[in-house]
Amino acid sequence: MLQVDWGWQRRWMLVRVDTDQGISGYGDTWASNATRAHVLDYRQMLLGEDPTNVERLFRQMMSRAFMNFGASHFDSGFAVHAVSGIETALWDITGKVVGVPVHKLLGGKHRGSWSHDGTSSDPKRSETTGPFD
Amino acid sequence: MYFDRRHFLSSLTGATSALMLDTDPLGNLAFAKNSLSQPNIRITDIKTYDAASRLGLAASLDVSSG
Repeated sequence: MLQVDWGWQRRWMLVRVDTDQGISGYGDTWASNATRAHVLDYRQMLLGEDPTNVERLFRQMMSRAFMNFGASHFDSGFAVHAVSGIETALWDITGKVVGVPVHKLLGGKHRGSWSHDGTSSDPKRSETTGPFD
Repeated sequence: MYFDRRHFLSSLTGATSALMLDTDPLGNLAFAKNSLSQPNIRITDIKTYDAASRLGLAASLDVSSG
């Protein structure tokens, strides 16, 4: 069973996935020692895998995240943080492999611009987005 | 999470439309063709980096918006 330090830092962590084709994918997620430990744990599982099989790898990671659900519910949350960062990086790689922005793989753009604080700077946002956006 | 399957099918549909209309405004045809001829690619490493904030994280990347 994974032994982790529960130290929590309100910081973001960048996840980088490298491939033998020289393509790297980037994802981000909450940073904590526990999340970092889970990323390194998944690393052993994902080495040698085809990163464009995003759904299969996502399911493998999520199964592992909740494998010890009963005994380690709290730890599963950190595991999902790790999955989030890695999955985003896998989508990034897939987009680069097929030569399209990732939004093309996920249904297309919802807005034309965004700001780093998470709010849209698109003046037309209210006209182009719905209540579930 | 059925995103990739759903959107691959969606892209194939878009590719069919692109062929019929002789246009590919959303890049679906290019995506479908590339998907069927993906190179053999394997994960070689996974690393983590600290980022003080999302802004700092974004600034550390050399990326262009698409």
